[in-house]
Amino acid sequence: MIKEQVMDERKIQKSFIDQIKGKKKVKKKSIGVYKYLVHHSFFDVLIHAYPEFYKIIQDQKLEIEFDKSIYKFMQTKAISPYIWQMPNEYRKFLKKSKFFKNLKYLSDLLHFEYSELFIFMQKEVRQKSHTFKMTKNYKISKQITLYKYNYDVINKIFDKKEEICLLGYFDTTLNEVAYRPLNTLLYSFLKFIDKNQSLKVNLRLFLKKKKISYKDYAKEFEKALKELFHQKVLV
Amino acid sequence: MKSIKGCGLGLRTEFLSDIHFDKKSFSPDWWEVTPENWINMPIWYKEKFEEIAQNTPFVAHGVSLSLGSNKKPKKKYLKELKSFLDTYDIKYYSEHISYSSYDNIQAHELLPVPLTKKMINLMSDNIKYVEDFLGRNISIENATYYHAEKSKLSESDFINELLHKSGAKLLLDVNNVYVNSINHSYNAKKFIKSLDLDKVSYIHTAGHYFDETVKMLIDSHGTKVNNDTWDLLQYTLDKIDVSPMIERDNNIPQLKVMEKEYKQMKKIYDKRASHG
Repeated sequence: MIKEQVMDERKIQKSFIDQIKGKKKVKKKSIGVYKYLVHHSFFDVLIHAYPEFYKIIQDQKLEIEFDKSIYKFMQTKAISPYIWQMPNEYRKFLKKSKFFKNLKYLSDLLHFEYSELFIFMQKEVRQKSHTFKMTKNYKISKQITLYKYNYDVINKIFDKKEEICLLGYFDTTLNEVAYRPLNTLLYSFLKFIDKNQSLKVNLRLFLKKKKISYKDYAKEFEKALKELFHQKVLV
Repeated sequence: MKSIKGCGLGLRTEFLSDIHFDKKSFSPDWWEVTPENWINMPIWYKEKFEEIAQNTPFVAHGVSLSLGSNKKPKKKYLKELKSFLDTYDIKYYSEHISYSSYDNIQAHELLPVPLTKKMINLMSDNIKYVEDFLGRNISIENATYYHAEKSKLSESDFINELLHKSGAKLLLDVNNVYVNSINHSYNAKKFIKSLDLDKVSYIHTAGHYFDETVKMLIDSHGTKVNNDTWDLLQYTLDKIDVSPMIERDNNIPQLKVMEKEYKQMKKIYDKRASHG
């Protein structure tokens, strides 16, 4: 019933949408106003979410490609009603697209820049107890980012590859999103943790797998893990 | 809407740290919140938001339901919306006479619907669907439009018939009326007079600017309310006993700046009330 009722209106709306999202040529100046407004909404959100990416766009004079990518994204992948989720949709879209293929570090850069918004938008911090014990079971908080980058995203060095393991979390003392580089061993252990076993058991298994002496490394690990517990990374 | 008294202001995260509840501090009679901005609010805002909710009534005004869309609003979002409204005991919810998504792809902008009987039927169905889901009678806002094509009805006939058919209330945005009246060359006061004013739940006002490139007024919500819009607010408040509020979504100033504008609105509102 509804399908029949709105057939003409659908055509009108489809044609309008195709024009403002760059799929068809704009027929009237007044439709162009909407094309401008819609593009501006997306553009504004994206350049604020990805300031370093936008700086590179400007430096390398990639504005035309950036605009094209925004229009293509608007046509297909902007789904969430929450505008703050749009940068992540765009990031995922770019990953699968052919845009900016020369920027080899793009995926790392966008992941790093988006992580700040992701961590900031966390809804709650759950921590079972206030005392840290190696004999307790913990898991990695869903409100942090733990990622191995191929480029030094912190110092924005993109002309050479350099592996860097980064922990992103909300620092409740400074009241801001913070990043902490981790050594590869600690990073691998955090990825290894099985929430169904105590940290101690996890650590024993991990070090055994790595053929590293538990006796030599246990204290150092415990100190680092305690700190991560207080930063609500282990919950 | 009768239980909402006085004047309102749009709540922004930028204001949170300046909102206090002692007698000396400024607080509007009620706050309008945009659910899309608060449903996923981070923990750092939640405590203050809840404190405000306990002290001052909230009214909710959505931007993404896309009532003029070919697809019904998604249940997942409606569930989140209902939970938000229920949690903060928000009885009054409004949306726009527009669409902002097509085939579930967002435009993140309020787009003009064709003013036709078929669109009235479509929107009425969507409104009833939303009302059933939320368990609330909703209000719909007259939107600004910079382009209208293939419209068979006048804007006021469209709005009146939509209100009648859907049973929704009207959130009358006097700034939108003013902007449309200039862009499409009609008399704003005559337009307001032609609306079914008995159905108005409350009033929006906001700022706009003249865009030199497109030679049109743009409803930006990013500047202070201008004198012509204040005049239109006064004209409207002389006719109906409803609450007004100010929206500010861009170039957000400090709360003390909004307080000045709020007091200007309050003066108009009180003047009208004394005549009532």
